[in-house]
Amino acid sequence: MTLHSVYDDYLEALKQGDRRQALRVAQKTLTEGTDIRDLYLDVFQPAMHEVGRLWETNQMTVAQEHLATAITQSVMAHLYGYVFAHTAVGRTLIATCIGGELHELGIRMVSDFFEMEGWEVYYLGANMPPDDVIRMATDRDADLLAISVTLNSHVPYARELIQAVRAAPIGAKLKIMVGGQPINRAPDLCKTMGADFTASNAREAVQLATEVLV
Amino acid sequence: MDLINITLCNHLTELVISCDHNGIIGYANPAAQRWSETPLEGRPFPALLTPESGHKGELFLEVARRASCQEPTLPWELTLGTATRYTVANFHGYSDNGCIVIIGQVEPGETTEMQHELLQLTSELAEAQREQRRQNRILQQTLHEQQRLLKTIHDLTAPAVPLWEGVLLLPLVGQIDSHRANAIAGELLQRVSAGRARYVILDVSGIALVDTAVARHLIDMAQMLRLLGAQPVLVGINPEIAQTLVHLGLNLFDFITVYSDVQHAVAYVLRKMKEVTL
Repeated sequence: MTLHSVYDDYLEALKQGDRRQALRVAQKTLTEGTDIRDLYLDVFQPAMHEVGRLWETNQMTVAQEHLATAITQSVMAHLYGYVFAHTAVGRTLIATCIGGELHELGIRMVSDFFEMEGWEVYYLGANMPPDDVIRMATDRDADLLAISVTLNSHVPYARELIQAVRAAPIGAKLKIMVGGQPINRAPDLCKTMGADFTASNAREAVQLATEVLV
Repeated sequence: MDLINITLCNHLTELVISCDHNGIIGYANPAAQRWSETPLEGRPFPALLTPESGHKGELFLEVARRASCQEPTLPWELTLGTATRYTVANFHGYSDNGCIVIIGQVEPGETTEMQHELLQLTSELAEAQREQRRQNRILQQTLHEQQRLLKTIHDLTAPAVPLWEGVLLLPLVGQIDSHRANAIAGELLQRVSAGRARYVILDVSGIALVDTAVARHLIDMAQMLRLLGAQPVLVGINPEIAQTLVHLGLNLFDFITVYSDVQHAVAYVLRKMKEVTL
């Protein structure tokens, strides 16, 4: 089944700022048998990229972009009710993002994918101070730390965070995953930042994490 | 720019910038300079903006390059400030004598603040839902565990132990209410008839509390056993049970044999069985 028309309808709802319509489109697709992961990767993600492009070409305002983000976030939360929860796998993910709330949708998708696979997921919000991240990872005895980086200018912050985590006792066992546009464009950044691995999308992130943490 | 214009620009709250054809800033008034730590003159226009707006700033310059003083560009939203804390400003631009003139108006701080807050609120709500899902999973797990325990308890309701052929030992423990008494009786009678038991030793020493209701249940159970042709042997009667049974005024000994402990009861049963085979 092709999701192109769903994408078109969903994007239109975002442009109109119509959250009910956006939810209807998504719910209908899901009840027709589409896997929620496909909906995330083939509808929400490209639609939000398009929203970013529309803003960049002066066809959408920041306020509209904020609304689109909020709508997609609430739709994702709504749809979660349809997900058949995988039995707990006994793994814990701590996720954070560098940059504003406007950029956290990507890492949220990643978080949801992990949760669907039975992981315990704690999303810490954007721009958490390294000490807070370390405390949380230690308290939860986390297996994996996911850091989302949205802009090149965020790379140094992420590197500092990784260094701080590595220096902490939990750093000995904690694996670190980085992701985001700057790293997708230059995958070498992953190593220079000191992370263990990177993934280009949420599905790949889960796959790689499962392999790394055997 | 002439003197009077510069004086005017110095006092404006709007951002005023003039760039050369390539977008290199030649002049920036104090309102614009306020947004940059380093002097803007000599740097490309996007240097004024946050990295998010870098590419958009280039696009805006291109449009402004083609616009005229009479027909400036539409307003373009670009962001100022730091990567993590930005402020939105609306920019117009036009070309004049090979210069690109850019005028910007910063959105009231409250508006940006409010949007940040709203977005954060959505984010927190989404996380609260994740927490809720976590709690639900824990509850589900606890519930599952509890059901398993209940099943175990149910299985232990009538733990009839076959001592040997035709002889069952039933150690009763815990609280007995009518619901449980019925369950025990049902289970026990099944076992008795399936195993053709002829003697059932009922050990009541482990029953927590005996009131008249429990005593009645015991007697009912014993009578039912008799109907199935099995001889009930009651052991472990403590002073409370003795009192309660006597208060009920029933002549138990017509149909129940009583011993103080299991050993005596077993000895009795063995004797009886020998008599029968003889």
